[in-house]
Amino acid sequence: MSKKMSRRELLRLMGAGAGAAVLAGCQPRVVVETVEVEKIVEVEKEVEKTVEVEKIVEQTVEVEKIVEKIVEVTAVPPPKEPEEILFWSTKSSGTELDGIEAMVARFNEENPDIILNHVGYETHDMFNTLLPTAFAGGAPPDIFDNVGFWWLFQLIESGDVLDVSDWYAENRDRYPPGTEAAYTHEGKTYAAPYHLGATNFIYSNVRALTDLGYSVADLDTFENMVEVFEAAGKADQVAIPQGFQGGWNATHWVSCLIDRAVGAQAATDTFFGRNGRRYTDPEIVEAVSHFKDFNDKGYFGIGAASEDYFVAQNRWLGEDLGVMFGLGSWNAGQITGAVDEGLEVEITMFPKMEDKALSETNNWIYWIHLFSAATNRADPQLLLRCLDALGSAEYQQIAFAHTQQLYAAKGATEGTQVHPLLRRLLDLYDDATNLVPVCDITIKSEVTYVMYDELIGILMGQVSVEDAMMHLDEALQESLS
Amino acid sequence: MTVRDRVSHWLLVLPALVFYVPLAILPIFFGLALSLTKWSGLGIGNLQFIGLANYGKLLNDRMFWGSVTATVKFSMLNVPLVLILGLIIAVAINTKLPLVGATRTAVLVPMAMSPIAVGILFTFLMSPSMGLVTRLFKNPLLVQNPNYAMVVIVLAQAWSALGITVFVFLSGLQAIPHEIYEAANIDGAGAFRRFAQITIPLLRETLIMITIITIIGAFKTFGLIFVLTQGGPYHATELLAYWMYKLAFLSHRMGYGSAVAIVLFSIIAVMTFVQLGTTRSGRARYY
Repeated sequence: MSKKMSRRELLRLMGAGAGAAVLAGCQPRVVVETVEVEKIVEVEKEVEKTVEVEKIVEQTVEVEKIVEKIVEVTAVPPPKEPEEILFWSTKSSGTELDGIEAMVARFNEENPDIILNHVGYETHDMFNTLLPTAFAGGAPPDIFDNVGFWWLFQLIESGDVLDVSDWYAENRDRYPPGTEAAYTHEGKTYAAPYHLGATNFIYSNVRALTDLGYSVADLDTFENMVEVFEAAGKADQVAIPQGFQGGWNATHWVSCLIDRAVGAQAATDTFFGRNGRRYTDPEIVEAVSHFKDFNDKGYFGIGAASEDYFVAQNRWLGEDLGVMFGLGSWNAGQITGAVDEGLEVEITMFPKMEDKALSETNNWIYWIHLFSAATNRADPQLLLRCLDALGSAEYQQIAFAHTQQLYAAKGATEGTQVHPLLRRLLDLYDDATNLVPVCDITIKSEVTYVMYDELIGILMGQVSVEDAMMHLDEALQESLS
Repeated sequence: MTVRDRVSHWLLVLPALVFYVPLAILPIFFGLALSLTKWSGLGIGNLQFIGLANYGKLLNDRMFWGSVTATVKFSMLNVPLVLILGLIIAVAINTKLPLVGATRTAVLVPMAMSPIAVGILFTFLMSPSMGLVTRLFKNPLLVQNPNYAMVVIVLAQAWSALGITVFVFLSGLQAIPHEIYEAANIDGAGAFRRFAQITIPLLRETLIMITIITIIGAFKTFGLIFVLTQGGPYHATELLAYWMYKLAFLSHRMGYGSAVAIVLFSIIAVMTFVQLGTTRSGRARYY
């Protein structure tokens, strides 16, 4: 059966078709967009997840870093080779070497990360040849012994010595006041003080003195002391066996005589050419003239002509051949171990012009041994540890047990068996509150040997006191220029 | 000389130059440069160029002239002693007198000893407390006395240098033809005349050479002084070489010490040239 489509129906159908087509055209798009949105949502979720994962990863990395740090901090480091520290001292023989070797052994035992290698040299070689050559050649020791003004300031000026001011500021109360000038330069500190030498002490053989009809108390003034010298000569004794007419220049006696004449501070100024003081000053010439008189009148014996004057000194003492001897703290340690027990020795002070006691300002340290560190090490902490130990009372007690000499740190004799003779000396020293660190009559190294030569010249009658002091003054002025 | 010869010559001397240039030649120039400065020897920053001032100062330095005087005095005592003793011993050995072998050994042994060892030996001999010589002379202070110290140093140096002197004289004596002595014998010349008119004239070049060597040795004397006297007492034995050391290494005046070293070097160089000239002419004439 067939039915003809009217035009109206056709148009309606076409319209519907068109509409359907339009609708059909629109319908799929709606589906796609929905899918994409879903996808985007999924991706966003994925991204969120990724971000979360990344955050977790980041957190993990941070945790790992923290763990690494914790491991770094807490883990035991791999075994490290101990650092070798080269240590030069002037303690090259006898009890002094024993003392310092004992200190070094103790240090190495207590500090397994450091090997302190000690090499002891004879003083003359050390100061005159080895030390300057080692520094000039760029191969200095890490820690070195020096005697105050002798080399230290020259090395400081050439930038070779470690500034230990901070360490010293924390440890200042370890040491007696008055020693700092020996190792302080332009307000900075460069050493740990170690071994002291104090002059002005006269040792008397009490038995020999009594035989002459005198007592130690009679040595209270310069004039009385000279009277004892005269009496000794008349009794065929030697007044001062340690002096020596030939080869030894007896600088100790000269320093005492100058100290007596002008006081320690003025004497120091003279030796440094400071404050207008000079060797040619009349008081200095007069003081040295006493030295010449002592020699001319035969007060100095030849006991010290022996290669080892301590041996000679002990022989003279032991045989009651000499009345007085020695002027230095270092003699005590040598006497205590080498003479008969029956020998009675007393220590008195060298008579001053005004008979001042040791505790007043006219006294000095004759020399002071210092331990300094070179600037050649990248890590100065190791060197400071060495200086800290070597400069401590505990370590200096170790040396004292061998040498029975004076050490710089307070308490260096505590808990140690001290010979009564040295006890007396230590008491005198402990009373000292204003030590002037003169550190040898021959302050400036350039002048040292001129002084020695001129004193020998005086003893030998080869040069007058006036000319000798003029030569010395010329050398000092040359050095200062 | 071909290029190849020159190259081979230089190659042959190269091993020696490797040591000689840095250890001998360069230090001379370094010393020369230092002599124009004022320097303590510490820290190159402290070095100051002062031109010829050190040399000018030397001329007016009483210590320098004292040291020159001591060196000349030492040479004047040492050189004749070594020459006379050396010649006598060489003639004795050459004429084969009894105990020649023992004498030769005794004389030559000190040659093998360093000046430091000789110095230590003499230190023991002269020790005030236990020295053999000081006890024999009943004077404990020989080295410590300015009047005797120089004598001790001269004797020690002579003892040390005698061996080489005898050795050189002996070789000179043995180079003199026997026929000359035989002819003189036939002519009736006695022993003294043969010695004075044959031996001495024919040893002329040897004598000059050994004199110059001994003078150079005297100017270079250091080890003995260093060990025995350290230049003392009161500069009595302070010869130039020791004074130079003292200035440079004890007084830390490197520049001034170097100037002394250059002066000493110049003196020794002049004498060496004289000696070389003499040796060459001697060889041409007699050997």
